[in-house]
Amino acid sequence: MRAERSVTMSDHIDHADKLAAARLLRDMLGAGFVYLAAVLGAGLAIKGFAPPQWGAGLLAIVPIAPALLMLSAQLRYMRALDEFQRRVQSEAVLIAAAVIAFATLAYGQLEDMAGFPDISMMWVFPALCIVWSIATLFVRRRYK
Amino acid sequence: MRNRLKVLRAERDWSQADLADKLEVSRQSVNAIETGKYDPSLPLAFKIAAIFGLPIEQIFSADDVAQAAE
Repeated sequence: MRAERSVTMSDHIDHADKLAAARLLRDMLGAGFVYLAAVLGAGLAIKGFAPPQWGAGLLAIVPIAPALLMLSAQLRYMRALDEFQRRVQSEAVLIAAAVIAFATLAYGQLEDMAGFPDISMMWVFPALCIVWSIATLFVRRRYK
Repeated sequence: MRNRLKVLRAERDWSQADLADKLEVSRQSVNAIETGKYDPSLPLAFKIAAIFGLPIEQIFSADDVAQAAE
């Protein structure tokens, strides 16, 4: 009979996967919070100071810095995974990109042709992240 | 691609976690390879072969080659 299994490296690796996912969530939430604060701050500054268009443009792209932090967090997460987990994530990203591409294309046509209300393009990135998370669940199930 | 991972592992009384431990990958990765749902990269296949002390072709075979041999 096998002895009770001690903690092995694979436990550490599975644990490392969970730690990487937890770190991703923490980094995304942190950067997301800074992003929202930057969006609000830039909006208030533009309204309050009425800068010229180039100044408003500069203020409007300030939130891109924390958004880049989110991208960096996602890349760090991908690099922490083993090759199979990376495959799962890559497929999930591909599915998410396709879903968002077709959804934005379809909604763009609805806006232009059927008079649907305008939706800001700033929602594309959060939507991509949400669809990526959902796609990950489906892709993981396929490999089980 | 087919593989004999499950048999070879059983012969050595290794769990999926034991093999994952030796390969330095997650247990889910071993499971996906074992069930044929994921084909490992060449470096990982070589590592698997080295751990079992066998040539790669005694562990992995292409589906059509395996069918022809049957």
